Amino acid sequence: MRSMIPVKSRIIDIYKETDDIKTFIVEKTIDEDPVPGQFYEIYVRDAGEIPISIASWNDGLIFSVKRVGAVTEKLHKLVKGDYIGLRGPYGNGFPEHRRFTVLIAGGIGLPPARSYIEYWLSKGAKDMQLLYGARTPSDIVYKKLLDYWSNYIDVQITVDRGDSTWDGNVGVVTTIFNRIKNKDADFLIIGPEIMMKFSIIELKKMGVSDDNIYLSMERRMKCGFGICGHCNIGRYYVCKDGPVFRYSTIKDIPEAIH
Amino acid sequence: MIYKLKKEFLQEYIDDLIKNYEVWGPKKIGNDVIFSKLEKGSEFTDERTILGPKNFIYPPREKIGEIDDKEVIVIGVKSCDLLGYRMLDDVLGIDPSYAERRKRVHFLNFVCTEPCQYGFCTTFSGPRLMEYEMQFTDIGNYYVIECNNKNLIGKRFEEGGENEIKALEIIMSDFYKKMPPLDVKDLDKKISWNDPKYAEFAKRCISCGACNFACPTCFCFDTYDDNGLYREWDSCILSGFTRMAGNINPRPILDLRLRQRFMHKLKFHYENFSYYLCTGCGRCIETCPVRIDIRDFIRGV
Repeated sequence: MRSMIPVKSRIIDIYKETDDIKTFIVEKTIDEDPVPGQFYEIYVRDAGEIPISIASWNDGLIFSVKRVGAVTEKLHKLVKGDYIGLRGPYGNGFPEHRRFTVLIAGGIGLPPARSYIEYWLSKGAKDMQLLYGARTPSDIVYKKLLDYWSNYIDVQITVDRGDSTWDGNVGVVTTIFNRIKNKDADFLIIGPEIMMKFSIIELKKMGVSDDNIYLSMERRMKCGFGICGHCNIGRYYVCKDGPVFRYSTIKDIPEAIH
Repeated sequence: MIYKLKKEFLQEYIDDLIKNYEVWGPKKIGNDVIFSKLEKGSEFTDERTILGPKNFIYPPREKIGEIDDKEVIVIGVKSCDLLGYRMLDDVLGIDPSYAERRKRVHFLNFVCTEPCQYGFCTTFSGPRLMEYEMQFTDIGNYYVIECNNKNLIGKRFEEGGENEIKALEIIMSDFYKKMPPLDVKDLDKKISWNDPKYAEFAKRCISCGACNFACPTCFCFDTYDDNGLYREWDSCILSGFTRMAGNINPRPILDLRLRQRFMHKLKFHYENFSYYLCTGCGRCIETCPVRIDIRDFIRGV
């Protein structure tokens, strides 16, 4: 959808995931179906537009949004039945599932990973593994889904800081890289750039090729289709050439992983 | 088709245009020359304005979804600006509202016959363009008019031919002698991520963004809500340009933002479109309060 005009969409339902993350199920008012890893521009009245990755879709579109800036603050105040504006889907999305795939997701990087896992599970693919890092046990989203997925694929979770309820691993996501089941795999990294940076260092040590590492990048994407100029990484526009890049494509661009 | 028009008939030609269209052109207002709506042909001057008429196809601020549907003629645009708008088309042209507005604006460009103070247009396409609707060149007693829009032919236009083409060629060859082109061969490959000029410019730059606003090729815009969704020209020099929620900024310092400006124009856009995103108009140099000079940068690469 190459237009700056948002399409009005009703919020069908809202779930609170954590203190600062909510999941919104939104009426699918745009015919085009997304592919895993794509994003939409969400317009919240009296606030503005923000790019948000699609987490899931069937009858409605599902977005999980962390409250972190002016627009998400306002979005979190909306209730069931309110309207938002939508444009999209935008971007290239994740590569097709072609062999064993390890998803490395940090924080609010799990929702885009969900779009991939759900899509390919529904196609019968089970050769996937999820490594998920959250700040604390109470920051973990999709708790029920994580349990459900672990019936089919290997799910490993770690937290930066534990608490009395937590008996799992404590440490950043790279501390569970020793649980990676298959190094001859595609690696999809979704999360903050600092996490990407250290994940790449560890993956390189394990002998993973730059061509097999994919990064889902974030930039201040205002249009979604390559005209507003905010999301350049070198010659690439994250909104249309990305958001998912092969590491080998952007690794020599100084401002890619800053 | 090539025509000629006695210079004394230009005002009459503009008067005739005004009968059928809304006509805008450079007009002297006090000490300034500003693109203004022309009420009569005598108001027109072919002097250079500080800002080009980019706003006719790309308003500085507009409510998203609202387009003005009137047809407008803009006469007196300089070739360097018009060339810039062709470049805008390559990026913004996929946006339906831009494309719609673009169709309704007719630019009639004037070819400079003398170099301006900061311009270096000969480095790129020079003042005589290959693509135009109607292009005027002052050859003394006449304007030579190269025309691709039959609807805009004036009643006093006389058919031109080889003599007029010859006159244009002489004027252009003289122009190129007065404004020797800069060497931009392989600039896209030679330009460096670590050029010390970025830091040097950053020491002087006051982040005003005038270079972006005066540039005929700058297309970046922001969107924001102000009782409705608006889009507004944005500037890559400003710190908020790449800043995301949570105060994450991939270009936190001015050096990096200036680097983006130069590299986008002279490398990234070239890699994507096979031409430099610069027409040599010199407006960024002219409007810069601290005289950051893209010509110095190009020479230094």
